[in-house]
Amino acid sequence: MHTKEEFIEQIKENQGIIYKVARLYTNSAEDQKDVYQEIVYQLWKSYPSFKENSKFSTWMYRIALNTAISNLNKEKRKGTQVSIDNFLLNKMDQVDTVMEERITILYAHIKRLSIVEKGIILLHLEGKNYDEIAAITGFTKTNIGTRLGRIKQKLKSQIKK
Amino acid sequence: MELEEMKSLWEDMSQKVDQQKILTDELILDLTKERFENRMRSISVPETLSAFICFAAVIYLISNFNLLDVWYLQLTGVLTMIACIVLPILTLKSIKRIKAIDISKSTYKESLINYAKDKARFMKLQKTSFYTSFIVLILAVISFGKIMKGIDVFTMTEKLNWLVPSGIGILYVFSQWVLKKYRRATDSAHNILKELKE
Repeated sequence: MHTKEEFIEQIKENQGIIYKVARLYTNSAEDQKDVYQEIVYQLWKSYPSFKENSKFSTWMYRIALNTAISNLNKEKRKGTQVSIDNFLLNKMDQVDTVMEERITILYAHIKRLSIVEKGIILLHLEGKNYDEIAAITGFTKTNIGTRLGRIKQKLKSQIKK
Repeated sequence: MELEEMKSLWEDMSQKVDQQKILTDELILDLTKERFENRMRSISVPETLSAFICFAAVIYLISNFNLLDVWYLQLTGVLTMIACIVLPILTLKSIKRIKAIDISKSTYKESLINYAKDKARFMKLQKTSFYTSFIVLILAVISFGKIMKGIDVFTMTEKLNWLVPSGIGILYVFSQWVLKKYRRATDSAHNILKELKE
């Protein structure tokens, strides 16, 4: 039985994942906030199905990526939003400007990849091995290897331009 | 920026993001609770309201059906009623289907397949409802015109002379726009599915 307190602790510990996924699949601060909120909501909704034998962060990547994708199809339904503006908008402001600029360029390169590739490169950058990427994405390990090779080539040529 | 540089920059960013423990217990709870209430309200209210309006129109048409005294007016009345019953039911059913999706059970690959298929399905629905709405609008104008004002549109030949061509013109312009949007969305969905098969 999972408790609310355990959920809160886990979210606090892994909150960076939500930020990175939400930023990757959106193009504006407003959409980012919306997806961020949606991911936390979906995590809470799916929390009873989380099994202790798997790693929380692995489960969290899966829910976060799936939510970000499913959100791409939804029309914007604006209503009252939780006041997450401050922490989301200011989060990276606390990092120095030069770094933020470089991060923006990094995200811009990744965002130019296809929707299929985005998730795979994110997990690779997060330091996940082929087994973990395969478990989260549902692709085979061989397929992940092939795709990553292709993505790296694509990024290389993008960066050269 | 080299690939290795990308990876180390990503690590630096991750460290910074992880250090900034800004989410509080209260905020996390708010994010789940308010989102839930907000979502339920934003989806259910307008759709239920639209369904009620459609059903009210059906009741109105049934109770005044005797005023539609010619066969073609009766036919437009029946077709309007069918549309006013079927369309809201289809919309509510599709919302129910979306709400029933269990995100925790799918992998990234499965979600991408669902995304591409939903995208194609949604655009098909948009295209169909565009044409249907146009037809329903015409049918409703004919039926309600007769019931509320006693006007039989089919006998007003003078007005029909300019109403029909301008209606077709508007339909043509908008349908080109809808078809363009439809082709673009289905192409993109097709590309995702193709890429997943590679």
